[in-house]
Amino acid sequence: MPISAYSILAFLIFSIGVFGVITRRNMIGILLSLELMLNSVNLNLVALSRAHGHANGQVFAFFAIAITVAEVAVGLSIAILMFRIKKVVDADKFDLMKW
Amino acid sequence: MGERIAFYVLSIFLVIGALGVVISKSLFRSALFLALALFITAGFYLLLNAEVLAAVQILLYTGGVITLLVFAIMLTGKLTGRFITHTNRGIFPGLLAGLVVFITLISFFSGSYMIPEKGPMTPNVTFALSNLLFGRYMLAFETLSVLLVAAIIGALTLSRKEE
Repeated sequence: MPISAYSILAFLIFSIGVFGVITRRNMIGILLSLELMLNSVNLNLVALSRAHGHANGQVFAFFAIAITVAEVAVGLSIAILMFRIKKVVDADKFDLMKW
Repeated sequence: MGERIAFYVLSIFLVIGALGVVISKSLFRSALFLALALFITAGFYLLLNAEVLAAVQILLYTGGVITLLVFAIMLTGKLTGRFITHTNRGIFPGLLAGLVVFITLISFFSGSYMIPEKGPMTPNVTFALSNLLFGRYMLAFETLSVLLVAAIIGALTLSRKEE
């Protein structure tokens, strides 16, 4: 299988993630779509690492996975905090920093 | 031949999972579709000679992140007192943005210089990966642990109930 096939698949998943981030109303739904986008980037990194025949790209994918976990932890706690303050699940209603 | 079949089967499931994440009505079902997509990605890692990353993907993502997400969904469902459904708004701008991103990526990709594939991977990928991780990228690896501690403290501080 040529490496470009993996890359094109990763681009497709990334675009689906962009669609989700823009159209979802729920904040956790937006986070889920964001996970999809990050995951597609990792797939691309690993595919290009395979193309180079070198493990360098896999190291970057490794770091990206670890950073994603930190991002999810902080993002979800912000989501829960917002739900507790505003009692809504709609991201459009979160306008605390707007004046 | 086997790799080709595996690629097509896995990519069909990956696209199904991804579409399920963005268009499913129930938030819980979205999270399960995301688990499917992440699990299939681990299969792709196996196809691409990244065994360690496949294991890390299953342990951290499918084990950790999905559990966290399901926890958050349950908690917010309990806080709002009703079952969470989520809908999409602005389908047309979303489709437009997704399409534009896809076309841009493809055109950049096809216009760029494609590196020729340099044969198979180095025979012992795990050894090479650990050598890089604890050799050249040692500082970044240690910084990552500081970042994780910061994230844990931040998450605890944010979600703590005010006295």
